[in-house]
Order: sequence, then structure tokens, then C-alpha cells
Amino acid sequence: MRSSPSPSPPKPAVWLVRHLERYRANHAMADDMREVFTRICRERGYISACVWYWMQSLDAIVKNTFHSWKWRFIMFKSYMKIALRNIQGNKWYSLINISGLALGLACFILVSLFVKYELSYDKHHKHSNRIFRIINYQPEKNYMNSDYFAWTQGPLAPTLIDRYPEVESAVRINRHHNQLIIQDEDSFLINDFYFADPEIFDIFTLELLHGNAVSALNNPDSIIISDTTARKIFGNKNPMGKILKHDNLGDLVVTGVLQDMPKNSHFRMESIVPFNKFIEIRELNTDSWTPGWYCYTYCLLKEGAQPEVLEEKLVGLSEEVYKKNNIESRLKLQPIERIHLYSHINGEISDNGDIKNVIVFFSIAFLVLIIACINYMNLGTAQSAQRGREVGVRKVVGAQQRQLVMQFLGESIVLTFIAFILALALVGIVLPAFNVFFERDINLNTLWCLKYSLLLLAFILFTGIASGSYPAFIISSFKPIASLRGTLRQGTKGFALRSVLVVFQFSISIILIISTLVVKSQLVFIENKDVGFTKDRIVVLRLRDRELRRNKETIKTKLLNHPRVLSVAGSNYLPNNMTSFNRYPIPDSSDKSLLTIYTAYVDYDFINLFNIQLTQGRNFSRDFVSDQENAVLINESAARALGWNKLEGQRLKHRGERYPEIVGVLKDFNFQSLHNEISPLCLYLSPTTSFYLSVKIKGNEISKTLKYIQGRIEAVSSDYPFEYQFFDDVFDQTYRNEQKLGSLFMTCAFLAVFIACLGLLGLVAFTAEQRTKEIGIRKVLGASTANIILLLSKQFLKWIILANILSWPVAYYAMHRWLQNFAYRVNIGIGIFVASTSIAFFIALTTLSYQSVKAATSNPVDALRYE
Amino acid sequence: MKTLSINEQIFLVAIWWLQDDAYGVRIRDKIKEMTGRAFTFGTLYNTLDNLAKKGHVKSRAVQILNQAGGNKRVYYIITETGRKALREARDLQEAIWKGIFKYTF
Repeated sequence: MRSSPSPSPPKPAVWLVRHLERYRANHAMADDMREVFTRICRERGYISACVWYWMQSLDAIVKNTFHSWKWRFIMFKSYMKIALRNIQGNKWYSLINISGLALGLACFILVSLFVKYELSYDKHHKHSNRIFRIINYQPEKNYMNSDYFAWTQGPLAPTLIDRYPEVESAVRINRHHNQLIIQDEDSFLINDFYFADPEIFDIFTLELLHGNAVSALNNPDSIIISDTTARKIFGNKNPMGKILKHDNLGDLVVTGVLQDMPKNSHFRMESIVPFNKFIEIRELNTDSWTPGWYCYTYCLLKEGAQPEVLEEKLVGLSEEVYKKNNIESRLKLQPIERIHLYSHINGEISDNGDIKNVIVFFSIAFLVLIIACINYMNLGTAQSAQRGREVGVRKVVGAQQRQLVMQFLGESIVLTFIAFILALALVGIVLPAFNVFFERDINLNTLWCLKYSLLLLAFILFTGIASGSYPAFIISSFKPIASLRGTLRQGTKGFALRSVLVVFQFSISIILIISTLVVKSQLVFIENKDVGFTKDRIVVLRLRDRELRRNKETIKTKLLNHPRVLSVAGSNYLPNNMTSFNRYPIPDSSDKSLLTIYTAYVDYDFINLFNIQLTQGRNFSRDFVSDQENAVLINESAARALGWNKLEGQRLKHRGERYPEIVGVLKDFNFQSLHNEISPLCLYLSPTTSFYLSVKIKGNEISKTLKYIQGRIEAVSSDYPFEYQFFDDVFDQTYRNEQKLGSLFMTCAFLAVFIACLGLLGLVAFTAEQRTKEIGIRKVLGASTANIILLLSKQFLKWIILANILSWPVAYYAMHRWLQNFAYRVNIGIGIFVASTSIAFFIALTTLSYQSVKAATSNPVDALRYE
Repeated sequence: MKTLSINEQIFLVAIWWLQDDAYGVRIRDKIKEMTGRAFTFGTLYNTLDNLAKKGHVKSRAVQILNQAGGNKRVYYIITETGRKALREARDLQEAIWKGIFKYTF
């Protein structure tokens, strides 16, 4: 019997129910519901049937959602179980995988902490985005590779406040190094000794633990000290109102205790004395723009003020005050947040970081992480055949590829997570050493803010997915029949990709090896380059004490009494770092441009002590009385620049005031670091301005000699602690950045090679295992052990050769760029490439040999019997 | 094995009563007849799914023609595991109520 066409249920509801059913296979819910719908329609009418149908379908959706989540959770538990079993079951692979990933992650976390720290400089000031430093741009006055200068003049800050409405406040700051403070007979050295106007509290976010920011710097005889300094000097006693003595500034009253400034500030103050005191002592005329550039000027702009506009206005000021003094200078604004990473100008308040380093570190860390991820992919695909049976069974039971992909991705995320925890532990261990190495104060706790933890979580997921994606897709695409029957051609899947990955890994490793070698060889080059003066067996004393400088000649005589002291010389710079200069007119030249000549003050023995050669003329001599007033030594570069071939009677014209006679020409020596070309230099004789006393010693009993020297010095004055350094150490310190870069490259190269080798080890072990039967048959048929080893290693060695060839140009280009920083540099010879190739080969062969020898020497009977 | 929940017991008993005729609509009607409770289809199929997953019932999809409802029905049948579970559930019930007069409460 055929019933009349019955009314159908509401279409959208039907669609919903059908849609639900797609996820729940063996259902007849829609059909069942339609049956009941028809019944209700008959009994109670269409409307109530529709209402009923809607209620039913909505309810079904809710129930279904809950239901499926419950099952999803149960499946998740099962996946976790399988994942953990896999980790346990394949201890060897898991170890390689996890430790590789952990190393890569640790490296990356560490560097991202470093980057975060570097980027955080000076952001702790509340108005940091409105604080600017005023700097000078003096074109043509190139000095130490920059024509920007951080120094400004005294009247600038008051002028800024008076004339420009967009400036809210401005402050003058001056830093003195290593000032001696005396409190009750005890003396303390303060390295970050600052002078500043009271406005400093309006501009920077500085917190006073004791004292009042408004009045603390009003009295010129006051001093604010930092918390740490207060503890150092006064212990737990209250320092407020106590007197600190300074030999230049007199008695200073402590009027405030400053909370220590965070280490990520481009300057950190240990003590602040009012700037007026500085003016008073130096007897400066603060209205005059002429005398000297003696302070840093920082200003706070009003909210909404445009720095560009102010800069534009400052052009007028520069013209007004500098033009009449014939100085070519333009004032520029520099955002305080950019100082640490982007500013490398003359007269920086303290050493800055470098954005280039940050970028280099970050990319290296990222590369190491990529190597670790590649390891995972490689091992994952190689190992995939072993999971074939599991995948086959899952597929037969009804798993969809989507589910399998999720399963394997989940596994890699779990693994990444374990690696991440290990990495964190590793970072915790390494961080203190890292901090010492980079002179930073990075804390692991900065990881635990919400923003950063979310970022890290995302990062773990990303790493997990990135490293797990390829194996997941490969494994899940297996045909169940083939994998269950065991006829899956193992290892061929993803072979091409795997070789690409290994080549990539090794390329990166080799690039890092080459970089390490180049940096190291440049360092060796610096060490051995004939810079034109001797570095050995010279002790350098700093004469901070005016008393010592005044009595220098007496000290010299006393020191020379010791049999092991060969000679003593005073100077205001050491021969490796002469940085101040003057500008001289070029004689007989039509244009009015001035020549920059670096200037240093030395005494009679300087040239001889450092063994600096003379090409013409003579050294300063006590025999010529006129030398004391009127003699100068120049170097060959200066002679060339001045256009003098003959020196007889030539005089150096210095601003029309002095006409010293040139008594000799020095052979060019590197009086600045090897980054710079040798420039013109002149040495004046000045027996009294010796900030450094260099002592040449001989013999083995260095500590005894030092004791003697210390005794003689302290006999004259013992206010300042006795400071000495060996000159070769001083020399090396100039290249600290390069040395750090060298160590960093070495560490990263080591890590990269190590991780890459882990991967190689896993791969070759796997290949050997897969080819057990083949090896067995080959051996039975008479293959020698060497044959088998070659068989197993051949493909890997091919990859490594390819990696070498690929990495050479990249490494060459990068290191060539780096070497451009040096005026004096090594050539990148073929030797370095050969060396890096041999290193890579050696390491790879060692890695390969263990597994391949094991496979090659095993008894073929075992191999063939293993079914 | 876990003891069956009351709901599961009701479902299994209903399926047993219906014998060859146990498909969605019938099961729902039967339960309503037995207990007076009308389940929504959402609950119904969730419970049936669970029973199937635990192996208490087996399902069989059948194509049918010219019916008022749709053209597909899924019939359920109790498996041996299901019977065993029911037996255990009943034993448990009887053990609980043993020696207590029916109108005690």
C-alpha cells in the first residue's frame, strides 16, 4: 500500500541531523526521526510535529557534542599511551630525538632571552618613548669610524628648556670613572660617578629609597648614592646626612639613596653629585658655547611633540652658536630606547650592544634549532616503516588519515614538550655562565609572564608540528595491505627529502665550522701581527692619583733601582689605543681644510720601552732643553699627509699658538685597534700628564717584582687601590667582541655538528638494520668488511661532499663581509675550506664507522636467520 | 567488566523484548511503554553507540523502501557479552534486594 505523500520535516533541521550523522557512521537517526515525525503529524498536526523535530535535533546536537568530546578524550589517552610506549620502546631513537631537540631548543630559548633582554634596554623609564639624547653630527670630522658625537655643551640643556616649548625638561649629565670616596679612613672606588641636574628625576624613572627627589640635588655639596654603594660604604647603617670626602670635590653630604638602576640601562649611576658642583670645580662659564664639550644632554619631550620638528628647529640653534665659532655641527635627537643597540658614536657614556650581534646570534640559534627539527624529521621518516604495522591495523579498524596525522603530530608535540622541559633545565644550568660571558643580567624568571609563556607554548606547538609534519603525512599515507603484509619498501619513502635534509644540516654545520675557523684565524692574526710595538713583559699601572702623577719622576727612579725593572715610561695613552686628536692646517695647501692628527703625551722613555722604531730624526732627549717645550714626534702617515719629505726645520702649526719642532718620524704603528687604518699621529713630550705608567720587567719572579712596585707606589700615596694590568691583556681586551664572537661560533658549530651527527648516527643505524639481510647475503657471497662499510657509508659521504660544496660560497661571502670590519685582516685561504671539509668528513666518518663496522662485522648467520 | 548502568539495562531489555524488530523508533517506543520515559533521539543513539562500543549489541543497517519514515533503518541485536552483562546486572540487583520485603519502603 502506498501512502499519500506525507509532509516532510523542516529542512534546516533535517540538514543539521544529516550533518551530525556524517560523523556517526551507523545511524539511522534522521530516518527514525522522520518516522516519528510522520506519526506525530498524523496525531497532533504539522506544527507540533515540527516543534518536536526541532527540539529533537537540537538536543541531538548538544548530546552529540558532549559524546564526541568524551570519545576524543579517550582516543587522546590512547594516543598518549602509544606515544609514551614508542618513546620507551625505541630508547635509542628517542634519546637521539629528544636530546637533539632539547639542545636546539635550549640554544634558541637562551638566545631569545638574550634578544628580549637586549631589546628591553632603557624601556623601564616611564616616559622612555619621549626621552631623547641630543648628539652632534659633525660631518668630515670622522673620528674612530663615526662622525657623530655624544658630547654636548653646557648651555644646551637650559637653552632647550627656555626656547623650545615642546621640551618638557632637559638635563646635563657627566660621568667620571673610578672616583675615590673616603668615609672614616676607609676609601671606596666608585666607577659610575655622575654629575647631574636635579631635572634628572623628572626625565628618568629613578626611585629614591631615602631622601626627597625635589630637594636632594639642590645643595651643590650633596651626593646621592645607590643602594648597593650605600651598603658597601655604610653597611646596614642609615647613610642619610653622613659625610663623604672626595679629594677634588671636598665634603659631600649624603642626601638620598637611589634604588639600583636595572642593569638593562645604557648608563647606571652609583652616585650623583649636582651638576653645579662640577661647574664650580671646573670654573666653567655656563653661558658660553665655546669651552669644551663636557656633558651629555637628555631631554624629555612633551606628550605628542614631534622629535623631527624639534630637530628641524635645532638647525637654527646650531647655526647661531656654531657658525660664528667656525664649527660645522648639527644637533640631532636620538631616542633613548635605541641607544643601546643602534648607537655607536664617539664618547658613548658606556659600552653598548649591537643590533648586528643580536641578529647574528638569533639567526645562528634559529639555524641550530632547524638542524634539530630536521633531525626529528629524518629519524621520523626513517623509522616510519616500523610503525607501518600499527598504521595498517589502525586503518583496517577504521582510522582515517586525518586521525593518523593528528596522532603522529600529537606524538611529536609530546616529544617536543619533553625536550622543552629538558631544554629549560639546560638553560637554567647554562644561564649563569652565559651571563658572565655576555656581561648581562638575564633572569629565567622573565619567561613566566603570560605573554611570553603563550609565545613559548605557540613555539612548542610550532616546533612539534614543523618537525612532525613530514613523518606524519608519510606514515599515514601507507597502504594498509602493503604495510600489514610487510612488503612495504622500507626506507625508500622520503629518501629524496631525507637526503636534502641531511645535506642542509651539514651545510649549516660546515658554514659554522668555516666561520669559527675564520674568526679564530683573524684572532691569531691580530695576536701575531706586527703592530709596531712590543707587548711582552710590560706591566701597566694606572695613575689615578694626582699625588702619584706629580711624583712620577721620583717613582720612576725608585722603580728603576730594582734589578728586574728594565725601564719605566709614562704616557696619557697606551700605544694600542690613542684616541684624542687635534686639527691642524696643512701647510702650503690652498684649501682651508684641517687635518685630523691623533695626539698623545708621552715622556722620554716611551718610545724605547715600547720599542717603537724611528725612521728619521731622533727621540725626545733630555740633552735638548728645548724639547721640553717645543718638540713633537710624528708618524710616517702624518708626514705623508702633511706632504713633508724632509723634516729639517719643519714645525707643526697648531691653531697658531705653538709651533713645535718635529724632531723625528716614527715608523707607522697601530695606535688604534686593527679595525682602523693607521692615521696621522703626533706625540708631544709631557713628563707630567701620565695617566699610565708602563714598567718593563724581566726575569721569572713576576709576583715579587710586582710586590716591589706596589710597595714603591704606596709609599707615595695609598689612597687609591694599587691597580696593574699586563699590557698584552690590555691589548687583547680591545678585541673582546671578536673573541666572544669566536667562542659563540665555536659553541654553535659544536652544537650543530653534534646534533647533525646524532641524526646521522640514527640514520645509519637504521639503514644498517634495514639492510641486515642484504649485508648477510653479501657477506656469504664473499664481500669483505671494507666493502660493507663502504656500502653503508657511501651515500652519506656523497651527501657530505655536496653539503661542503654548497656551504663554501655562503660561508665565504658571510666571512668576507665580517672581515671588512678590519682594516688589517687575514685572507680567507683555501686552507680553511680544506680544513673544515676534513673536519666534517672526519666527524661524519667517526659517526658512521661505529654503526657500519658493527653491521659489517656481525655474523651473517645471525643476519639471515632473523626471520 | 563494569556493571551496566540502569539506562543501559533498560536499553538492553527493550532490545531483547523487540527481538528482530529492534530499531531506533521501536526501541524508543518500547522504553516509553516499559518505563514511561521518552528519550530524545540524541540520548538514544549516544547510549546505543556506547553499548555498541562496549560490544553489548551489534548493529545492522537495512535499506527499506516505501516506508513513511526514510529508507534506512539500523537494527540492534544483543550479543553474548550483552547477555552476560545483563545476567550479572540482574544478579547484582537481586543480591541487593535479597531478603527485603517488597513493600518495606
